[in-house]
Parts: sequence; structure tokens; C-alpha cells
Amino acid sequence: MGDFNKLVGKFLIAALLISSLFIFIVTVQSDNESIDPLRNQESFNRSLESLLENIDESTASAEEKYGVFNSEEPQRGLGGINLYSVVSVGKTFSSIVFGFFGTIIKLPLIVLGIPSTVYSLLITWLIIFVIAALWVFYKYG
Amino acid sequence: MACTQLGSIEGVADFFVWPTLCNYYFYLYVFGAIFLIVAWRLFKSEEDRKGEGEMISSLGISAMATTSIGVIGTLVKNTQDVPLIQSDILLYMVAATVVFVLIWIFKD
Repeated sequence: MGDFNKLVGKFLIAALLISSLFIFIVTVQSDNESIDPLRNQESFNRSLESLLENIDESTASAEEKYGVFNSEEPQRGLGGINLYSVVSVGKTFSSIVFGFFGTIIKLPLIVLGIPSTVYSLLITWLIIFVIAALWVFYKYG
Repeated sequence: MACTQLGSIEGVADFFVWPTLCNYYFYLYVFGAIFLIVAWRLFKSEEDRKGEGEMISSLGISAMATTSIGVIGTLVKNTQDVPLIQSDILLYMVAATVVFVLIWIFKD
């Protein structure tokens, strides 16, 4: 437990794979004039739109945090240097993780009828994991 | 969608869509079987190459492949404009794929 970079990377790969699949389906169906396209299904449409929105937001906030990190003057601290921008980077990327998780898991929850207790258990595990990973990230970089 | 007689089938597309008219979930079962066979083949080939296979990643890859083929099924339609795979059947496949991909990515 505790590798925050890996966790964010895994969420981004999952989002990339799933959004690629969604976009592949939409493109193939619209290019070949499917008579019953998947975009007619409201749950799919909502999932696709919020996934694309999340990707746009995460790109914007990653660029913003890179700017904050670049502009910060490092201060000498006990046994090393202090960079406070890392804390805001951690906070932003943890919210990206929760955003992606909420978006990706919504479709199977609705369509396959997975009980909400499963979602609650997963979100509890994720919160504990993210807190532990962030703590390690702040402490050791 | 009424289940028609085999005699009223006029073309190849009609023939392939005919099971859907008789059993709405027919191709869901067919693609489920394809998914399991592909996953098992992937697992076995990886086991032969490396000595040990990963079932979870085989299931994830197989789910993505099966759903991609399923998309082609939504484009095939019979003379009454009934598609081979309805959008809600494809939605089930997509939702299951999302679950398998998530398990695959977060397995360790």
C-alpha cells in the first residue's frame, strides 16, 4: 500500500482503455449508420460524456499543477528541501482518482445491477488507499 | 419481433438475425461463449510460453475483443431492419467489459 504515482497511472490507463472502447463503438456505429446505436442508451451516453469531461478536467488541472510546481521557489528544510506545491498536486490528483472511479463504475452499477453496497465497499477501500498513498507520497516523495 | 419460420428467410443477413427473433438473448449467450473460449485460449497460450498464465488479464483482453466484434453485430440487419445484436445487449457486454478491464488493471 502506498504508491500514489502507480495508483494515478492505473486509473489513467483504465480511463484510456475504456474511453477508447466507447469512442470506437460510437465511431463505428455512426460511420456505418447503425439502426440501433448505443448512443441511444441514456446510461451509456451519460457515462461517455462524463468520462470525456473528466479527461479534459484532469488534463487542465495537471497542466495547472505543473505550472504551480514550476513557479515555486524551493526552500531549505530539515534534511532536504520543502516544496509545498506537491501537497496541492496530491490533493488534485486524488480528486481525479475519485472522479474517474465514480464515472467508470457507474455504467456497470446501473446496467448489471451491482448492489450499492459493493460500490460503498470499493469507495471505502479507495479512500483508505488514497490517504495512505498520499501520506507516503508527501513523506518520501 | 415475432419468431418467423425458416422458410421466410430471404438472405444471409435474415438467416443470421433469425435466432434473435426467436430468442432475444441468443447472441448474448453466443458472445459469452466466445468470450470464455478466447480467454481460455489466451490463458493456455501464455501458460505454454511463460510457464504460468494470468487468467484475469486473459479475461480483460478477451472481453475487449469480444465487445469489439459485438459492435460489428449491431451493424448487421435483416430485411425488417432488426439488428443482429440490439443496443441493450451490447450495453450488457460493454458493462461487463468495464468490470473485467478494471479488475485486470487493478489486480496487483
